Amino acid sequence: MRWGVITFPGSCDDHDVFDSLKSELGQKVKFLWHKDEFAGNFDCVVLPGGFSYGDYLRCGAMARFSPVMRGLMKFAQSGGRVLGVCNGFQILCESGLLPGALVRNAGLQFVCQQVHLRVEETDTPFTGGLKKGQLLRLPVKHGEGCYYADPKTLEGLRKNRQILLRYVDAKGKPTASANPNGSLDNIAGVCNQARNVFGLMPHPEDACSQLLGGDDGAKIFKSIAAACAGKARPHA
Amino acid sequence: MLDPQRHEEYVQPAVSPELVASHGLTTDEYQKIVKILGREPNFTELGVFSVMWSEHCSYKSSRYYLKNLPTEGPYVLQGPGENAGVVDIGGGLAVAFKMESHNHPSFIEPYQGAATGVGGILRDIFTMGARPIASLNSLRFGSIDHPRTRYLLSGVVAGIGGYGNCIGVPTVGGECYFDECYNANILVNAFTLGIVKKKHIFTGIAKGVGNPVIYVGSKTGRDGIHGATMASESFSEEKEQRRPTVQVGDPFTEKLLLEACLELMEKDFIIGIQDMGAAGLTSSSAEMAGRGGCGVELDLSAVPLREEGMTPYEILLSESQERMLLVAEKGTEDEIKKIFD
Repeated sequence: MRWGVITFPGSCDDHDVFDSLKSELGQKVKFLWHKDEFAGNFDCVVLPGGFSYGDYLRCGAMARFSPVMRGLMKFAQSGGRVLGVCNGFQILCESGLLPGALVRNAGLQFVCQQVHLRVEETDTPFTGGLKKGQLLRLPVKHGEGCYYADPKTLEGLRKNRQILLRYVDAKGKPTASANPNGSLDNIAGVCNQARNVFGLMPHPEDACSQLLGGDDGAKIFKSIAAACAGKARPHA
Repeated sequence: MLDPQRHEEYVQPAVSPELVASHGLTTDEYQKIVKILGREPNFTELGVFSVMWSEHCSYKSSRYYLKNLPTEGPYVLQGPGENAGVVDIGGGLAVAFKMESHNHPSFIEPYQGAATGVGGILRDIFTMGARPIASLNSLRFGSIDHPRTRYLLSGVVAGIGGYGNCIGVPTVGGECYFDECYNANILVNAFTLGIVKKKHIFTGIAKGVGNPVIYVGSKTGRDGIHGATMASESFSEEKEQRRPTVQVGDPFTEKLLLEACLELMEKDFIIGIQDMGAAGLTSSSAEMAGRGGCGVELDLSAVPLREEGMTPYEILLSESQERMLLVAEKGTEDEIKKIFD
Protein backbone atom coordinates (compact mmCIF):
# COMPACT_ATOMS: atom_id res chain seq x y z
CA MET A 1 0.00 0.00 0.00
CA ARG A 2 1.49 3.35 -1.06
CA TRP A 3 0.49 6.58 0.65
CA GLY A 4 1.17 10.10 -0.51
CA VAL A 5 1.14 13.15 1.79
CA ILE A 6 0.92 16.56 0.14
CA THR A 7 2.98 19.38 1.63
CA PHE A 8 1.63 22.84 0.84
CA PRO A 9 3.53 25.89 2.04
CA GLY A 10 2.05 26.36 5.51
CA SER A 11 1.08 22.70 6.03
CA CYS A 12 1.70 21.86 9.68
CA ASP A 13 0.53 18.28 10.09
CA ASP A 14 2.26 16.73 7.07
CA HIS A 15 4.99 15.26 9.28
CA ASP A 16 2.42 14.00 11.81
CA VAL A 17 0.60 12.08 9.08
CA PHE A 18 3.86 10.81 7.62
CA ASP A 19 5.22 9.61 10.97
CA SER A 20 1.96 8.02 12.10
CA LEU A 21 1.63 6.08 8.86
CA LYS A 22 5.27 5.07 8.75
CA SER A 23 6.22 4.48 12.38
CA GLU A 24 2.91 3.48 13.95
CA LEU A 25 1.35 1.62 11.04
CA GLY A 26 4.40 0.47 9.09
CA GLN A 27 3.11 1.90 5.81
CA LYS A 28 5.03 3.13 2.76
CA VAL A 29 4.69 6.92 2.60
CA LYS A 30 5.98 9.61 0.28
CA PHE A 31 5.80 13.38 0.51
CA LEU A 32 4.36 15.25 -2.48
CA TRP A 33 5.51 18.84 -2.99
CA HIS A 34 2.86 21.44 -3.89
CA LYS A 35 4.91 22.87 -6.77
CA ASP A 36 5.40 19.52 -8.49
CA GLU A 37 2.96 17.94 -10.87
CA PHE A 38 1.07 15.08 -9.24
CA ALA A 39 2.93 11.95 -10.24
CA GLY A 40 3.27 8.49 -8.81
CA ASN A 41 1.31 5.40 -8.18
CA PHE A 42 -0.58 5.90 -4.91
CA ASP A 43 -3.35 3.96 -3.22
CA CYS A 44 -4.34 6.89 -1.05
CA VAL A 45 -3.29 10.53 -0.88
CA VAL A 46 -3.64 12.60 2.30
CA LEU A 47 -4.12 16.39 2.39
CA PRO A 48 -2.89 17.35 5.86
CA GLY A 49 -3.89 20.10 8.29
CA GLY A 50 -2.23 23.46 8.59
CA PHE A 51 -2.58 26.90 7.06
CA SER A 52 -1.89 26.38 3.37
CA TYR A 53 -0.49 29.56 1.81
CA GLY A 54 -1.18 31.26 5.15
CA ASP A 55 -4.95 30.98 4.62
CA TYR A 56 -5.13 34.76 4.62
CA LEU A 57 -7.90 34.38 2.09
CA ARG A 58 -10.68 31.84 2.71
CA CYS A 59 -9.17 28.62 4.10
CA GLY A 60 -8.00 26.38 1.29
CA ALA A 61 -8.96 28.90 -1.41
CA MET A 62 -5.37 29.34 -2.56
CA ALA A 63 -4.24 25.73 -2.18
CA ARG A 64 -6.81 24.43 -4.64
CA PHE A 65 -4.95 26.29 -7.41
CA SER A 66 -1.52 24.85 -6.63
CA PRO A 67 0.14 22.75 -9.38
CA VAL A 68 -0.16 19.46 -7.50
CA MET A 69 -3.95 19.84 -7.28
CA ARG A 70 -4.49 19.53 -11.03
CA GLY A 71 -3.26 15.94 -11.03
CA LEU A 72 -4.92 15.20 -7.71
CA MET A 73 -8.30 16.22 -9.12
CA LYS A 74 -7.86 13.76 -11.96
CA PHE A 75 -6.68 11.08 -9.52
CA ALA A 76 -9.80 11.61 -7.40
CA GLN A 77 -12.15 11.75 -10.35
CA SER A 78 -10.81 8.46 -11.64
CA GLY A 79 -11.50 6.76 -8.32
CA GLY A 80 -8.25 7.39 -6.41
CA ARG A 81 -8.72 7.56 -2.65
CA VAL A 82 -8.20 10.98 -1.10
CA LEU A 83 -8.34 11.82 2.59
CA GLY A 84 -8.47 15.47 3.71
CA VAL A 85 -7.90 16.32 7.36
CA CYS A 86 -8.76 19.77 8.77
CA ASN A 87 -7.16 22.20 6.29
CA GLY A 88 -7.14 19.29 3.86
CA PHE A 89 -10.94 19.01 4.29
CA GLN A 90 -11.23 22.75 3.64
CA ILE A 91 -9.15 22.41 0.46
CA LEU A 92 -11.30 19.50 -0.78
CA CYS A 93 -14.46 21.60 -0.25
CA GLU A 94 -12.89 24.60 -1.99
CA SER A 95 -11.83 22.47 -4.94
CA GLY A 96 -15.31 21.02 -5.31
CA LEU A 97 -14.24 17.43 -4.64
CA LEU A 98 -16.50 17.50 -1.59
CA PRO A 99 -19.81 19.32 -1.14
CA GLY A 100 -20.38 22.11 1.37
CA ALA A 101 -18.02 24.55 3.07
CA LEU A 102 -16.23 25.06 6.38
CA VAL A 103 -16.83 28.41 8.00
CA ARG A 104 -15.79 30.17 11.20
CA ASN A 105 -16.60 28.22 14.36
CA ALA A 106 -19.96 29.23 15.83
CA GLY A 107 -18.23 30.26 19.08
CA LEU A 108 -15.77 32.46 17.13
CA GLN A 109 -12.93 30.87 19.08
CA PHE A 110 -10.24 28.42 18.05
CA VAL A 111 -11.10 25.03 19.56
CA CYS A 112 -8.52 22.51 20.72
CA GLN A 113 -10.04 19.50 22.49
CA GLN A 114 -10.84 15.80 22.35
CA VAL A 115 -14.20 14.98 20.78
CA HIS A 116 -16.38 11.88 20.50
CA LEU A 117 -17.42 10.85 17.03
CA ARG A 118 -20.05 8.38 15.91
CA VAL A 119 -19.44 6.29 12.81
CA GLU A 120 -22.52 6.75 10.61
CA GLU A 121 -21.70 4.74 7.50
CA THR A 122 -19.30 1.86 6.91
CA ASP A 123 -19.58 1.15 3.20
CA THR A 124 -16.56 3.32 2.33
CA PRO A 125 -12.84 2.54 2.23
CA PHE A 126 -12.33 4.99 5.11
CA THR A 127 -14.78 3.45 7.55
CA GLY A 128 -14.99 -0.11 6.26
CA GLY A 129 -13.12 -1.53 9.24
CA LEU A 130 -15.41 0.20 11.73
CA LYS A 131 -18.90 -0.63 12.99
CA LYS A 132 -21.95 1.52 12.42
CA GLY A 133 -22.62 3.49 15.60
CA GLN A 134 -19.09 2.87 16.91
CA LEU A 135 -17.63 5.75 18.95
CA LEU A 136 -14.19 7.20 18.23
CA ARG A 137 -12.24 9.68 20.32
CA LEU A 138 -10.09 12.09 18.30
CA PRO A 139 -8.65 15.58 18.82
CA VAL A 140 -9.89 18.67 16.96
CA LYS A 141 -7.90 21.91 16.59
CA HIS A 142 -9.33 24.53 14.30
CA GLY A 143 -10.84 27.99 14.03
CA GLU A 144 -12.89 27.37 10.91
CA GLY A 145 -14.43 23.94 11.15
CA CYS A 146 -18.14 24.70 11.18
CA TYR A 147 -19.57 22.56 8.37
CA TYR A 148 -22.17 24.31 6.27
CA ALA A 149 -24.19 23.28 3.22
CA ASP A 150 -27.39 24.63 1.72
CA PRO A 151 -30.58 22.66 2.54
CA LYS A 152 -30.66 20.92 -0.84
CA THR A 153 -27.04 19.76 -0.59
CA LEU A 154 -27.63 18.64 2.98
CA GLU A 155 -30.66 16.64 1.90
CA GLY A 156 -28.53 15.00 -0.81
CA LEU A 157 -25.83 14.14 1.73
CA ARG A 158 -28.38 12.42 3.96
CA LYS A 159 -30.06 10.62 1.09
CA ASN A 160 -26.79 9.32 -0.35
CA ARG A 161 -25.47 8.51 3.14
CA GLN A 162 -22.39 10.70 2.66
CA ILE A 163 -22.19 11.82 6.29
CA LEU A 164 -19.60 9.44 7.72
CA LEU A 165 -18.89 10.97 11.12
CA ARG A 166 -20.93 13.09 13.56
CA TYR A 167 -19.89 14.87 16.75
CA VAL A 168 -21.62 13.14 19.69
CA ASP A 169 -21.42 13.07 23.48
CA ALA A 170 -19.83 10.22 25.43
CA LYS A 171 -23.09 8.28 25.17
CA GLY A 172 -23.22 8.63 21.40
CA LYS A 173 -25.94 11.32 21.22
CA PRO A 174 -25.46 14.15 18.70
CA THR A 175 -26.23 16.96 21.15
CA ALA A 176 -25.54 20.66 20.69
CA SER A 177 -23.02 20.66 23.53
CA ALA A 178 -21.07 17.82 21.88
CA ASN A 179 -20.71 19.94 18.75
CA PRO A 180 -17.43 21.88 19.10
CA ASN A 181 -17.90 24.31 16.21
CA GLY A 182 -21.61 24.59 15.39
CA SER A 183 -21.46 22.31 12.36
CA LEU A 184 -24.85 21.67 10.71
CA ASP A 185 -26.36 18.40 11.85
CA ASN A 186 -23.22 17.78 13.98
CA ILE A 187 -21.34 16.82 10.81
CA ALA A 188 -17.64 16.04 11.42
CA GLY A 189 -16.81 14.32 8.14
CA VAL A 190 -18.36 13.72 4.73
CA CYS A 191 -17.47 11.78 1.60
CA ASN A 192 -18.29 12.38 -2.05
CA GLN A 193 -21.00 10.47 -3.92
CA ALA A 194 -18.48 8.03 -5.35
CA ARG A 195 -17.26 7.40 -1.78
CA ASN A 196 -13.55 7.66 -2.65
CA VAL A 197 -12.93 11.16 -1.24
CA PHE A 198 -13.33 11.80 2.49
CA GLY A 199 -12.83 14.97 4.50
CA LEU A 200 -12.99 15.37 8.28
CA MET A 201 -12.10 18.08 10.77
CA PRO A 202 -10.78 15.80 13.60
CA HIS A 203 -7.19 14.56 13.35
CA PRO A 204 -6.79 10.76 13.07
CA GLU A 205 -3.01 11.17 12.65
CA ASP A 206 -2.77 12.61 16.15
CA ALA A 207 -4.43 9.55 17.66
CA CYS A 208 -2.42 6.59 16.40
CA SER A 209 -0.60 5.66 19.58
CA GLN A 210 -1.68 4.89 23.15
CA LEU A 211 1.36 6.91 24.20
CA LEU A 212 -0.33 9.99 22.76
CA GLY A 213 -3.62 9.28 24.48
CA GLY A 214 -5.41 6.99 22.07
CA ASP A 215 -5.25 5.05 18.84
CA ASP A 216 -8.74 5.48 17.43
CA GLY A 217 -7.24 7.44 14.53
CA ALA A 218 -5.27 4.38 13.47
CA LYS A 219 -8.58 2.56 12.93
CA ILE A 220 -9.40 4.91 10.06
CA PHE A 221 -5.98 4.45 8.43
CA LYS A 222 -6.23 0.66 8.90
CA SER A 223 -9.64 0.68 7.22
CA ILE A 224 -8.15 2.42 4.20
CA ALA A 225 -5.21 0.02 4.10
CA ALA A 226 -7.53 -2.97 4.29
CA ALA A 227 -9.75 -1.60 1.52
CA CYS A 228 -6.74 -0.99 -0.71
CA ALA A 229 -5.31 -4.44 -0.01
CA GLY A 230 -8.67 -5.94 -0.99
CA LYS A 231 -8.71 -4.07 -4.25
CA ALA A 232 -5.10 -4.84 -5.05
CA ARG A 233 -5.78 -8.58 -4.91
CA PRO A 234 -9.08 -9.05 -6.69
CA HIS A 235 -8.19 -12.54 -7.89
CA ALA A 236 -6.62 -13.81 -4.70
CA MET B 1 15.02 50.11 -3.74
CA LEU B 2 17.14 53.21 -3.28
CA ASP B 3 18.70 54.27 -6.50
CA PRO B 4 22.32 55.31 -6.09
CA GLN B 5 21.59 58.81 -7.28
CA ARG B 6 19.05 59.48 -4.59
CA HIS B 7 21.36 57.79 -2.16
CA GLU B 8 23.97 60.43 -2.98
CA GLU B 9 21.45 63.16 -2.45
CA TYR B 10 20.43 61.94 0.99
CA VAL B 11 21.74 64.39 3.53
CA GLN B 12 21.86 63.22 7.12
CA PRO B 13 20.35 65.56 9.69
CA ALA B 14 22.92 67.31 11.88
CA VAL B 15 23.46 65.77 15.29
CA SER B 16 22.27 68.17 17.97
CA PRO B 17 21.92 67.73 21.76
CA GLU B 18 18.14 67.55 21.24
CA LEU B 19 18.54 64.76 18.69
CA VAL B 20 20.78 62.86 21.10
CA ALA B 21 18.21 63.23 23.87
CA SER B 22 15.39 62.10 21.58
CA HIS B 23 17.38 58.92 20.95
CA GLY B 24 17.24 58.13 24.65
CA LEU B 25 20.99 58.54 25.16
CA THR B 26 22.38 60.37 28.19
CA THR B 27 25.15 62.95 27.92
CA ASP B 28 27.58 60.48 29.46
CA GLU B 29 26.67 57.85 26.93
CA TYR B 30 27.07 60.34 24.11
CA GLN B 31 30.54 61.29 25.34
CA LYS B 32 31.44 57.62 25.34
CA ILE B 33 30.37 57.31 21.70
CA VAL B 34 32.54 60.27 20.75
CA LYS B 35 35.45 58.69 22.59
CA ILE B 36 35.02 55.32 20.86
CA LEU B 37 34.71 56.84 17.40
CA GLY B 38 37.26 59.57 17.96
CA ARG B 39 34.76 62.01 16.43
CA GLU B 40 31.13 63.06 16.52
CA PRO B 41 28.79 60.34 15.21
CA ASN B 42 26.61 61.07 12.22
CA PHE B 43 22.83 60.64 12.33
CA THR B 44 22.85 56.99 11.22
CA GLU B 45 25.60 56.05 13.67
CA LEU B 46 23.69 57.80 16.44
CA GLY B 47 20.66 55.64 15.61
CA VAL B 48 22.79 52.49 15.68
CA PHE B 49 24.30 53.31 19.08
CA SER B 50 20.93 54.27 20.47
CA VAL B 51 19.35 50.90 19.70
CA MET B 52 22.38 48.81 20.60
CA TRP B 53 22.73 50.55 23.96
CA SER B 54 19.03 50.45 24.74
CA GLU B 55 18.02 48.31 27.68
CA HIS B 56 16.25 46.01 25.24
CA CYS B 57 19.46 45.06 23.45
CA SER B 58 22.15 45.55 26.07
CA TYR B 59 20.40 44.61 29.34
CA LYS B 60 22.36 47.44 30.89
CA SER B 61 20.26 47.61 34.06
CA SER B 62 19.00 44.02 34.29
CA ARG B 63 22.42 42.45 33.70
CA TYR B 64 23.16 42.77 37.39
CA TYR B 65 20.17 40.60 38.29
CA LEU B 66 20.56 38.17 35.41
CA LYS B 67 24.04 37.36 36.71
CA ASN B 68 22.43 35.67 39.71
CA LEU B 69 20.88 32.95 37.58
CA PRO B 70 22.67 29.61 37.24
CA THR B 71 24.08 29.14 33.74
CA GLU B 72 26.53 26.28 34.03
CA GLY B 73 26.26 22.55 34.49
CA PRO B 74 27.38 19.25 33.04
CA TYR B 75 24.43 19.12 30.62
CA VAL B 76 24.60 22.74 29.47
CA LEU B 77 25.83 22.80 25.88
CA GLN B 78 25.15 26.49 25.36
CA GLY B 79 24.80 29.11 28.06
CA PRO B 80 23.96 32.81 27.68
CA GLY B 81 25.34 34.83 24.78
CA GLU B 82 23.72 32.99 21.89
CA ASN B 83 20.23 33.08 20.42
CA ALA B 84 19.05 30.39 22.84
CA GLY B 85 20.34 28.08 25.52
CA VAL B 86 20.90 24.40 24.75
CA VAL B 87 20.77 21.49 27.18
CA ASP B 88 21.82 17.91 26.47
CA ILE B 89 18.97 15.41 26.93
CA GLY B 90 20.95 12.29 25.97
CA GLY B 91 20.65 9.97 23.01
CA GLY B 92 22.49 12.44 20.80
CA LEU B 93 19.71 14.97 21.22
CA ALA B 94 19.45 18.33 22.91
CA VAL B 95 16.76 20.89 23.60
CA ALA B 96 17.12 24.57 22.75
CA PHE B 97 14.90 26.95 24.67
CA LYS B 98 14.53 30.58 25.53
CA MET B 99 12.10 32.96 27.13
CA GLU B 100 11.64 36.52 25.96
CA SER B 101 9.45 39.43 26.94
CA HIS B 102 7.38 41.54 24.59
CA ASN B 103 5.80 43.78 27.20
CA HIS B 104 5.72 47.21 25.65
CA PRO B 105 4.60 46.26 22.15
CA SER B 106 1.83 44.14 23.68
CA PHE B 107 0.61 47.02 25.81
CA ILE B 108 0.41 49.28 22.75
CA GLU B 109 -1.09 46.75 20.30
CA PRO B 110 -1.88 43.50 22.15
CA TYR B 111 -2.52 41.15 19.23
CA GLN B 112 0.47 42.06 17.05
CA GLY B 113 2.69 42.77 20.05
CA ALA B 114 2.16 39.32 21.51
CA ALA B 115 2.18 37.58 18.10
CA THR B 116 5.53 39.05 17.10
CA GLY B 117 6.86 38.14 20.54
CA VAL B 118 6.12 34.51 19.73
CA GLY B 119 7.55 34.97 16.24
CA GLY B 120 10.80 36.31 17.65
CA ILE B 121 11.21 33.53 20.15
CA LEU B 122 10.46 30.88 17.51
CA ARG B 123 13.17 32.33 15.26
CA ASP B 124 15.63 32.29 18.14
CA ILE B 125 15.00 28.57 18.49
CA PHE B 126 15.23 27.48 14.87
CA THR B 127 18.28 29.70 14.42
CA MET B 128 20.03 27.19 16.64
CA GLY B 129 19.10 24.40 14.24
CA ALA B 130 16.27 23.16 16.44
CA ARG B 131 12.72 22.39 15.32
CA PRO B 132 10.33 24.22 17.67
CA ILE B 133 7.86 21.81 19.27
CA ALA B 134 6.18 23.65 22.13
CA SER B 135 5.56 27.11 23.53
CA LEU B 136 4.66 28.42 26.97
CA ASN B 137 3.80 31.84 28.26
CA SER B 138 3.88 33.78 31.50
CA LEU B 139 1.53 36.73 31.63
CA ARG B 140 0.83 39.56 34.09
CA PHE B 141 -2.12 41.86 33.58
CA GLY B 142 -3.56 44.74 35.55
CA SER B 143 -6.50 44.49 37.89
CA ILE B 144 -9.41 42.45 36.50
CA ASP B 145 -11.80 45.45 36.78
CA HIS B 146 -9.40 47.81 35.05
CA PRO B 147 -11.11 48.95 31.81
CA ARG B 148 -8.12 48.06 29.61
CA THR B 149 -7.44 44.61 31.05
CA ARG B 150 -10.14 42.74 29.13
CA TYR B 151 -8.96 44.26 25.83
CA LEU B 152 -5.32 43.48 26.54
CA LEU B 153 -6.01 39.95 27.76
CA SER B 154 -8.09 38.89 24.77
CA GLY B 155 -5.66 40.47 22.30
CA VAL B 156 -2.55 38.96 23.87
CA VAL B 157 -4.06 35.48 24.20
CA ALA B 158 -5.31 35.54 20.59
CA GLY B 159 -1.95 36.85 19.34
CA ILE B 160 0.10 34.17 21.08
CA GLY B 161 -2.21 31.32 20.07
CA GLY B 162 -2.79 32.56 16.54
CA TYR B 163 0.84 32.94 15.61
CA GLY B 164 1.87 29.61 17.15
CA ASN B 165 -1.00 27.72 15.51
CA CYS B 166 -0.13 28.96 12.04
CA ILE B 167 3.41 27.66 12.45
CA GLY B 168 2.13 24.38 13.87
CA VAL B 169 3.71 24.88 17.29
CA PRO B 170 1.23 24.39 20.13
CA THR B 171 1.08 26.57 23.20
CA VAL B 172 1.10 23.81 25.79
CA GLY B 173 0.76 25.79 28.99
CA GLY B 174 1.25 29.03 30.79
CA GLU B 175 0.51 31.09 33.85
CA CYS B 176 -1.42 34.28 34.26
CA TYR B 177 -1.84 36.70 37.17
CA PHE B 178 -3.82 39.90 37.59
CA ASP B 179 -2.77 42.72 39.87
CA GLU B 180 -3.23 46.47 39.80
CA CYS B 181 0.53 47.00 39.87
CA TYR B 182 0.52 45.87 36.21
CA ASN B 183 -2.22 48.30 35.15
CA ALA B 184 0.18 50.47 33.18
CA ASN B 185 2.83 47.93 32.36
CA ILE B 186 1.75 44.40 31.52
CA LEU B 187 4.27 41.57 31.27
CA VAL B 188 4.11 39.25 28.27
CA ASN B 189 6.71 36.50 28.28
CA ALA B 190 6.85 33.83 25.62
CA PHE B 191 8.89 30.65 25.82
CA THR B 192 9.64 28.17 23.07
CA LEU B 193 11.43 24.84 23.16
CA GLY B 194 12.89 23.04 20.19
CA ILE B 195 14.62 19.75 19.65
CA VAL B 196 17.98 19.48 17.90
CA LYS B 197 20.60 16.85 17.13
CA LYS B 198 23.64 17.55 19.28
CA LYS B 199 25.93 17.51 16.26
CA HIS B 200 23.70 19.94 14.42
CA ILE B 201 23.67 22.99 16.68
CA PHE B 202 24.15 26.32 14.90
CA THR B 203 25.31 29.62 16.36
CA GLY B 204 25.21 33.25 15.39
CA ILE B 205 28.81 33.86 14.45
CA ALA B 206 30.38 35.74 11.55
CA LYS B 207 33.88 34.64 10.56
CA GLY B 208 36.07 33.88 7.59
CA VAL B 209 37.16 36.94 5.65
CA GLY B 210 35.50 37.06 2.24
CA ASN B 211 32.51 34.86 3.16
CA PRO B 212 29.15 36.23 2.00
CA VAL B 213 26.65 37.78 4.42
CA ILE B 214 23.19 36.82 3.19
CA TYR B 215 19.83 38.31 4.09
CA VAL B 216 16.81 35.95 3.90
CA GLY B 217 13.09 36.28 4.66
CA SER B 218 10.65 39.16 4.40
CA LYS B 219 11.41 42.53 2.88
CA THR B 220 12.40 45.46 5.04
CA GLY B 221 9.81 48.12 5.72
CA ARG B 222 9.52 51.10 8.03
CA ASP B 223 7.84 49.14 10.81
CA GLY B 224 9.32 48.94 14.24
CA ILE B 225 11.98 51.60 13.78
CA HIS B 226 13.27 52.32 17.26
CA GLY B 227 11.07 49.59 18.68
CA ALA B 228 13.95 48.52 20.91
CA THR B 229 14.43 52.04 22.22
CA MET B 230 10.71 52.45 22.78
CA ALA B 231 10.57 49.15 24.64
CA SER B 232 13.25 50.39 26.99
CA GLU B 233 11.47 53.55 28.04
CA SER B 234 8.85 53.90 30.71
CA PHE B 235 5.29 54.50 29.68
CA SER B 236 3.40 57.75 29.50
CA GLU B 237 0.11 58.78 27.88
CA GLU B 238 1.69 59.60 24.54
CA LYS B 239 2.97 56.03 24.11
CA GLU B 240 -0.48 55.17 22.80
CA GLN B 241 0.59 57.08 19.71
CA ARG B 242 3.60 54.85 19.34
CA ARG B 243 1.61 52.15 17.61
CA PRO B 244 3.71 52.43 14.42
CA THR B 245 6.78 51.29 16.36
CA VAL B 246 5.07 47.91 16.87
CA GLN B 247 5.86 45.36 14.18
CA VAL B 248 3.25 43.33 12.35
CA GLY B 249 3.67 39.56 12.17
CA ASP B 250 3.26 37.25 9.20
CA PRO B 251 3.28 33.68 10.54
CA PHE B 252 3.01 32.20 7.05
CA THR B 253 6.33 33.74 6.00
CA GLU B 254 7.80 32.59 9.29
CA LYS B 255 6.67 29.03 8.61
CA LEU B 256 8.34 29.14 5.17
CA LEU B 257 11.46 30.66 6.73
CA LEU B 258 11.50 27.92 9.38
CA GLU B 259 11.23 25.09 6.84
CA ALA B 260 13.78 26.68 4.50
CA CYS B 261 16.29 27.29 7.31
CA LEU B 262 15.98 23.74 8.62
CA GLU B 263 16.40 22.40 5.08
CA LEU B 264 19.46 24.58 4.57
CA MET B 265 20.93 23.42 7.86
CA GLU B 266 20.94 19.84 6.60
CA LYS B 267 23.73 20.98 4.28
CA ASP B 268 27.14 22.28 5.27
CA PHE B 269 26.76 25.79 3.91
CA ILE B 270 26.19 27.87 7.03
CA ILE B 271 28.88 29.32 9.24
CA GLY B 272 26.61 31.42 11.38
CA ILE B 273 22.94 32.39 11.41
CA GLN B 274 20.98 34.89 13.44
CA ASP B 275 17.48 36.24 13.68
CA MET B 276 16.93 39.93 12.93
CA GLY B 277 15.02 40.77 16.07
CA ALA B 278 15.19 43.95 18.09
CA ALA B 279 17.24 46.58 16.24
CA GLY B 280 17.06 44.40 13.12
CA LEU B 281 19.99 44.42 10.77
CA THR B 282 22.07 46.50 13.18
CA SER B 283 22.04 44.15 16.13
CA SER B 284 22.13 40.92 14.14
CA SER B 285 25.17 41.93 12.11
CA ALA B 286 26.98 43.59 15.03
CA GLU B 287 26.36 40.66 17.36
CA MET B 288 27.46 38.10 14.77
CA ALA B 289 30.61 40.08 14.00
CA GLY B 290 31.27 40.56 17.71
CA ARG B 291 31.19 36.82 18.36
CA GLY B 292 33.52 36.14 15.44
CA GLY B 293 35.91 38.94 16.35
CA CYS B 294 35.73 40.39 12.88
CA GLY B 295 34.04 43.15 10.93
CA VAL B 296 31.06 42.88 8.61
CA GLU B 297 30.48 44.91 5.49
CA LEU B 298 26.85 45.55 4.61
CA ASP B 299 25.65 46.76 1.22
CA LEU B 300 22.41 48.44 2.27
CA SER B 301 21.42 49.08 -1.33
CA ALA B 302 21.13 45.28 -1.74
CA VAL B 303 18.61 44.98 1.10
CA PRO B 304 15.16 44.09 -0.32
CA LEU B 305 12.82 46.94 0.59
CA ARG B 306 9.06 46.99 0.98
CA GLU B 307 8.81 50.76 0.62
CA GLU B 308 10.46 53.29 -1.60
CA GLY B 309 12.92 55.92 -0.53
CA MET B 310 14.04 54.34 2.72
CA THR B 311 17.13 55.93 4.22
CA PRO B 312 20.16 53.98 5.48
CA TYR B 313 19.07 54.97 8.99
CA GLU B 314 15.67 53.35 8.45
CA ILE B 315 17.08 50.22 6.80
CA LEU B 316 19.52 49.63 9.64
CA LEU B 317 16.96 50.21 12.37
CA SER B 318 13.85 48.61 10.86
CA GLU B 319 12.38 45.80 12.95
CA SER B 320 10.38 44.21 10.16
CA GLN B 321 9.62 40.64 11.16
CA GLU B 322 10.53 37.26 9.69
CA ARG B 323 14.07 38.11 8.58
CA MET B 324 17.35 36.28 9.14
CA LEU B 325 20.98 37.06 8.54
CA LEU B 326 23.41 34.32 7.70
CA VAL B 327 27.07 33.97 6.93
CA ALA B 328 27.78 31.16 4.49
CA GLU B 329 30.70 29.36 2.94
CA LYS B 330 31.96 31.15 -0.14
CA GLY B 331 30.56 29.63 -3.32
CA THR B 332 27.33 28.25 -1.83
CA GLU B 333 25.26 31.38 -2.56
CA ASP B 334 23.39 29.95 -5.54
CA GLU B 335 22.37 26.77 -3.76
CA ILE B 336 21.18 28.76 -0.77
CA LYS B 337 19.17 31.01 -3.04
CA LYS B 338 17.54 27.95 -4.58
CA ILE B 339 16.31 26.70 -1.21
CA PHE B 340 14.84 30.09 -0.26
CA ASP B 341 13.20 30.65 -3.64
